[in-house]
Amino acid sequence: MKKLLAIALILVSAASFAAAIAPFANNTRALGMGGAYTAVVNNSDSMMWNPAGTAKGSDFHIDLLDLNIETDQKTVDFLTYFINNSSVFTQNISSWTSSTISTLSNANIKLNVSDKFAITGINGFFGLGNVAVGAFAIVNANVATSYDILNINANINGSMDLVGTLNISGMIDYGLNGLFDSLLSGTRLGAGVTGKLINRWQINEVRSAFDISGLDPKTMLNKLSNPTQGYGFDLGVNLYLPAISSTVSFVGKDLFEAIGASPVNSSWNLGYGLKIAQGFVADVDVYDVLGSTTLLNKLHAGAEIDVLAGLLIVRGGLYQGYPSFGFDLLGFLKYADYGVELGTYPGQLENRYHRLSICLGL
Amino acid sequence: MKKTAIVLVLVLLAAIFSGCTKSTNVLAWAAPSGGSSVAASKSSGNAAFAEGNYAKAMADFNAAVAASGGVAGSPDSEARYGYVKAYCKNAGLDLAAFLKAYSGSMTPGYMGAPGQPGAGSYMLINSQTLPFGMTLSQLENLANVVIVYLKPIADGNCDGVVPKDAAGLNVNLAFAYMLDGILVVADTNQDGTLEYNLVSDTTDQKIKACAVDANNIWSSWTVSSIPGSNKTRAVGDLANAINYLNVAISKTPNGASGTMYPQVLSILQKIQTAVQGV
Repeated sequence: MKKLLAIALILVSAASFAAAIAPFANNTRALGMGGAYTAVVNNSDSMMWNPAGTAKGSDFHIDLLDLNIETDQKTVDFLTYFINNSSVFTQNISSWTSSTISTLSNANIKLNVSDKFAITGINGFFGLGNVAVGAFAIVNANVATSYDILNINANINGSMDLVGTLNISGMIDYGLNGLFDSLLSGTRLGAGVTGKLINRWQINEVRSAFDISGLDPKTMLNKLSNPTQGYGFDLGVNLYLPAISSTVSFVGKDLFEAIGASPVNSSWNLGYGLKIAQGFVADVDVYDVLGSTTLLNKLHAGAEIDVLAGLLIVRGGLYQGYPSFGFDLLGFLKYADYGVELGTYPGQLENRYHRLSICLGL
Repeated sequence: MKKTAIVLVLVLLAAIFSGCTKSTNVLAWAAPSGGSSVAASKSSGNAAFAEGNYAKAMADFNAAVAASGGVAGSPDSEARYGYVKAYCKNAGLDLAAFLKAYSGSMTPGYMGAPGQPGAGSYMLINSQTLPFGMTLSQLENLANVVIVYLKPIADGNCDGVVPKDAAGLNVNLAFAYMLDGILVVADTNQDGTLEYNLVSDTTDQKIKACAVDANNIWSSWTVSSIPGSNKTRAVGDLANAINYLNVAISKTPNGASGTMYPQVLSILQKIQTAVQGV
């Protein structure tokens, strides 16, 4: 049965996808698995990914550091060009080639840095079930130039989110008997909720070639000094089916969420996870099942296997149909490489990301 | 189990080497080829534009415009904007060449031919250094396409996805009207050959038009044969250019102070005055 499910999962994963998620919820392990993580997550990542993930309870754990650094392929390409042609940029513009000016007019530098501090496994706290608390921070910076018909635009975007989270989860025995007894025996239901308090610092400047000189750094810094407050909830339900080593998850994200006066669109995600063997798990997610995005762009699938007793864990998957891969090395170094679909349909326009993480915990 | 693990590791390694920079989407077969709906056409057009396939992008956006009411009536601002972007690129619009050429031509005394206005003059348009790396006919068509497709957006007759007061939209329209206003004077019969050059004379701070002959770019300051209808059209074009530029200025976060807008506006006003005077 497990083999059949594993084969089915791999076949499904050969034809799967998904949609974009809130940046601060991104996770290197998840992205290595093609973004398919909802039914697998069971640690502090649960607070942002699936609040029911901590329902089974876990040992007391402190995440001291989860430093993530991410950039995209366009940035890598541009910086490579810049380094290889560095001598050109010290010369007068009239000596530049059209190719150089074209490259500079369509440049992109993107950098995302994030970190978290989290405590999980505060079990039985005031009889509320399993409790976890966390603080997530992510800084996004993007400077880009682009053609705009008869003009050239410079786009300067920067944001920092600081999110405090409180996660409470619990488990109940489902106790089903009867026709599907063999399938459902031992079935349990886990549920959890994460409350989020958000502070967002943000700048977003689009300047044409004609008003870029009017850009005032002081004004930009002033914007950064005034954060916008927000709040929201995530809700998760996990159905554990131990007879077939499976978990089915249903997660509501960004419920009743608003940052300042702007409401955040909520979404509902579905996940199916399968424990094929010890250290070998697979997952298929459908993001934003009720959203209007093309179905195939919502699909994610991936698997993870521990090949060296936790010292080397390898991951792979399909993120909206684009291959992803990742690994954990020596328990503290993580890497993920994945492609995101920018078009409406699969295969139209990929933006590929590279992500490196360093983790320390107690 | 062991075999499954080995197979999976091999699959993952394959994914590693196939996915380092750009990868193939295994679900690409499911994407429509374009044209099946307005949304599909626009999405296909955006993808084609990003890949540099401007002819296909033009065709896709044009299909989206046609399917949503045609050039005269389509309210789809994204399709209109996308078509113009693709059109300009497909026509060979080269802003890089323009920047490169004009970074030198803005030096006073750029032209040295007999009869030329001499040191202290800036070329605006002449038969040797046409802007954007395009031919005169291409420029005339470009100005026309920008105006026909984008004016309904700026006039508030579209869906608002591209806001009617968007700075970029209005700057583009201002430039298109400026081009049309200049070209209708400089190429009076719109045959793709310049009859007049336009020059900014820093000595008296005026924009001037002068005739082009076969031997010298500058043969005379005397302009006598620009038809009245051309002048009327040019004056109207430049008035539109000034209006759209003012909309763009109004959207600049800290106003026009410290930007190049005042200089651009000043040049437009001088050209308008010059055209009225010839």
